[in-house]
Amino acid sequence: MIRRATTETVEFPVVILGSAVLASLRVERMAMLDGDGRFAAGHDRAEALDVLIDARAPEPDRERLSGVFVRFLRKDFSGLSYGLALALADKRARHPLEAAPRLIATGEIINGGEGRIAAIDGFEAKARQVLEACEAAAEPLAFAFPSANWTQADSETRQALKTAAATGRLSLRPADHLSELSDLWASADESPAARSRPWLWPSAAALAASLLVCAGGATLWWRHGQPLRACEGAVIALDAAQGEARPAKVAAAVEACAAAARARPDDGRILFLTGQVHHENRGYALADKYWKASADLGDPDGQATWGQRLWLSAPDDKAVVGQALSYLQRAADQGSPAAMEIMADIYIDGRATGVDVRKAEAMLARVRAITGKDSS
Amino acid sequence: MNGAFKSLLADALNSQVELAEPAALEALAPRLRDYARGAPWRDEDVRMVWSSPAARRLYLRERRLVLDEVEAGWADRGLARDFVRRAADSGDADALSLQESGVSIRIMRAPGSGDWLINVVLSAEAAALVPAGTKVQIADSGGLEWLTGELDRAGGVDAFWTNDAQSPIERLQEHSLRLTFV
Repeated sequence: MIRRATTETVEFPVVILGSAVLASLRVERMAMLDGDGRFAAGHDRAEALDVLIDARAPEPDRERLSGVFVRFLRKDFSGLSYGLALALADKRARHPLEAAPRLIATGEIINGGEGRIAAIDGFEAKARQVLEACEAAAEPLAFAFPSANWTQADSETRQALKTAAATGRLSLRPADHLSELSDLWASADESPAARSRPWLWPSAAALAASLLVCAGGATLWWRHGQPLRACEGAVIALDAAQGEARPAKVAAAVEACAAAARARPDDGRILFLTGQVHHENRGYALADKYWKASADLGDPDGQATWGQRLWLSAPDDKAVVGQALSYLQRAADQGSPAAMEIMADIYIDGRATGVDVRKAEAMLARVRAITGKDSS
Repeated sequence: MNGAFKSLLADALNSQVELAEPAALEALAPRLRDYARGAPWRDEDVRMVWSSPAARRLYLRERRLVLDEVEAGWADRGLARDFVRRAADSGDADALSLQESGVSIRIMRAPGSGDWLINVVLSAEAAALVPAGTKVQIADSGGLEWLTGELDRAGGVDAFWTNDAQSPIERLQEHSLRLTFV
C-alpha cells in the first residue's frame, strides 16, 4: 500500500524548574534516510534512537529502518518521558490518519521492552497541564499516558481527567504497550503475533477495569473499536471543514457513521454521532431517531440532546417535559454539563414546571464546579 | 549560555584568588589528562577546576593537546577537513552531498516542514581518532557555525539549519566548509 508521507507533531508535558509545560516534537518521513544506520536524524538525543528501535520492533523488517527527521521544538528538559510522544509521532508520520486528533502523550518507552510503556514522574502536574491545554483547545484532543500512572494517580487528578473526558473534549488513552494505541495511526503494521502476545492480556484486563471507572468516558475510543473510530474521524474532519469542502465532508460523515451504526447498533456513542451528522445533513427525523436510541442506550450526550429535543418540541406539555427531564437527569448523573445547563433553562423557562430559580441556580453551580466556567 | 552571562562568568573566574595547594594540583594533573579524553569527572575535581585558576589552566592545556593530537592523526591519515561544493555537483535544490576522505556531509531538506538538516558522518577510521568528549564542528569560510556536536554511536552528528537568510545550498555557492574539533 502506498502511504502519504507526512509531518507529525505530538506534544508532551515536561516539568522544568518545578512547573509543567507542554513541549513538542516533530517527526517527518525522509525516504532519503531509508535503510541508513542513522535512519532517524536531527534528534540530538542518543536515547531517541533506542526509543524508535523499540517502538518499531513489531513492524515488518522493511519498515524498521524507514528514514525520519526528529526535531525537538524545545530542548531544555531532561528525562525520558518524551518517549511515548516520540514513538507515536513516528508511527503517525509514517502511517498518517486522514483526520488525526491533536495528541499529547507522556510515558517512557522501556529500553529493550519492544514498545512497553513505563510510568513517569510528576504525572499529576503533567495532567494538570494537559487539562489546561484541553480547556484552551478549540478541538477535542487525545491524551496517551502509562496505565500505571492512572492507577497510581490521586483521586483529584483522576476525577478532573474523567470530567474532561465526559465533556467530550479529552480522550483518555492509558496504555501499557504501544500496540494498545494502534488506532492512533493508520496502519495495522504490527504482526498478528505481536498483537496477541499473552503478556498483554493481563494488562489489557487491568486497563479495561481501570477505564470502566470512567463512567462518563463517552469519548474513549478504544472501547468501541474501528466503527466508532471511523465515525469519529469523519465527524472531526467535518468539524474542521469549511466552505465548499463542507458538503462532501457531511456526506462522508453520514456514510461513515451510518455504516458504524449498522455494525454496532448497540453502541450509544456511535448512535449519538450518527444523529449529529444526520442533523448536520438536515435529516432531522433521522437525527431524532438515532438520538433517542442513543439516549435509551445510556449515552450521556444522547440523553442530553434527546432531552433537549423533547423539551423544545413541547415546552408547555408537562408530560413531555417530564420525559425530557428524566433523560436530562440521567445525563446529569453521568456528569454531563450540557444536560445540567438545559435543565437550568427548563426551570428558568418554567412553562411546564413552574419557574424555579433555586433549582436552576443549583444546576448552574454544578456546571461551574465541573467546567470552571460561569455559564449563567 | 548567552554572551552577557559568559562575560560575567569570565570576569568572576578571572578575579579568583589561587587557593589550591601545589600538592593537590600535582595529584589532580593525571586525572585532568583523563578528563580531557572523555573520562567521567569526580565531583570534587569539578569543584576544584571551578575554584582554582591553576587547575583550569592545566585542564585547558590538556584539552589543547588532545585537539592537536586529533588534528595530527587526521593529517597523517589524509582525512579531509576542508570541503568545497564543486561546479559539477548535482543541481538538486533540496539535497547535496559532499564526500571527501573519511567524511561525508549531507545537506537535505524535508519536503513537508521545509527543515534543512546538516548531517556529518565519519568513517570508522576517522571516528576512532576522535576521543569521547571531543566535539566535531563545521563552520564556513564566512564564519558561520553550521554544526557542533559529539559523534553518536554511528559516527555521525547532525543539526538543523537555523539561518533563515539563506539556504545551506545557497550559502555553499559562496563559502567553503571546514571541520574542526572543540
